[in-house]
Amino acid sequence: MSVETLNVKGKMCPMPVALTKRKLAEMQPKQLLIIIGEGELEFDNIQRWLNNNAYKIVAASKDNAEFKITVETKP
Amino acid sequence: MSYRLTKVVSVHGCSCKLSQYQLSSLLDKACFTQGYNENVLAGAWENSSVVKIADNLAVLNTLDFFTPLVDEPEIQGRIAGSNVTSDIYTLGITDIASFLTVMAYPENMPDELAVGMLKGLGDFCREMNIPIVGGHTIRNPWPIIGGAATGIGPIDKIVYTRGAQPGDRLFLTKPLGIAAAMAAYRLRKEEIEDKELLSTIPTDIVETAINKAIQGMTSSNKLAAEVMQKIAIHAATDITGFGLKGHLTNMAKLGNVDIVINNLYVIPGAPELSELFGYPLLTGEAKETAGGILMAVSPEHSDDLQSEFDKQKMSYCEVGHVTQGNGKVTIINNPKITVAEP
Repeated sequence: MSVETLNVKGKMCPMPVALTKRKLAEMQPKQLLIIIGEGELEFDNIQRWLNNNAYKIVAASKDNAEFKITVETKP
Repeated sequence: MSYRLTKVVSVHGCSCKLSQYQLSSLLDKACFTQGYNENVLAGAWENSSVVKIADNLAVLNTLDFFTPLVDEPEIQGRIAGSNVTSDIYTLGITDIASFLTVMAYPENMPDELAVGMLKGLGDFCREMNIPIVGGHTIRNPWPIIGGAATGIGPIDKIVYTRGAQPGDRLFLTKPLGIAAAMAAYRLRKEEIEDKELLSTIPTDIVETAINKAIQGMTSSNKLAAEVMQKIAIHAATDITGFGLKGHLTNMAKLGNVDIVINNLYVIPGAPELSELFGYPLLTGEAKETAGGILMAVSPEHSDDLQSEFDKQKMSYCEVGHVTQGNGKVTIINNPKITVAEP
């Protein structure tokens, strides 16, 4: 299973969700994407969008302002 | 103009507010919610403070400022004026005696944008017959605009956030979905590649959402306050940065009741845009800016209230009701969605 990283730090809402959506659309099935960003709103919005769109969130963590969300692309 | 107000801040409008939880924690630690004297009829957690100065006469004070939501400075100024004054109008008081501006902007921001924000704010206040009597302006990395308003009114006409009673019906005067509409506004101005992400939603729907959001934010809640002077409203709050659920939780806790929302009144296109951006509109948690007033009214007075809204040609929608309880707010699963007129 290959792993890709998307850095959305410094991107204004709604770009973090929009860039996540585009990146996932480009990836192959059953890969992992690690999204690195900052901001509470963005952390919540990205996870909500992933859940709404039936993506599997493997891990999500926040360390001060920075967050990391690991998501699996669909089968 | 190349300098864009929305581009130099990372959070926009009421989204820059601290969460209720964070604010509550700060105020408690600083002991700000203790020790009011008997003349303070409302303090923290009310939309504006209420202090008795004579028999049946109170002074209301509020302060509100935030980061830009739009790049057009005069519109931004109007939104700020609408948002500040709303905190007085929400208590049913229509007389705002004075207004002080609060503005901040970075050194590299053209002065004409600062002038534009002030002009929009000034025009709004003039139209509401509110004198701007001063203010304070500083340098700051982010542009900020807002102000402090002072209202005066009879104590027996003031409507608080507390006071909702089981059986009350709930009416909202502006549709929800500002955050999603304004996110589309910003995305629309991005590079072509990024703008493509809006392509799943027809352009006319996006335009309508943005226009409706701006129209709502720049519309005064004064008419709603005038209606509240005529009808016996039990409780009211405006819906801004804490979102529908956050403000209603405040109303439910202060009134020691439960609130059920079964109908979401939304800006056209806002549900689609919220889904696209992952915004929690349908759970009532999306942040609003310069939103409408939510009123709790007894069933006996509901018809009168709706007649008065109709007479004033105001937009409104019944969104839920109050039950016995202890401060819980429920947005039912799959609530009815009522889309406002474009």
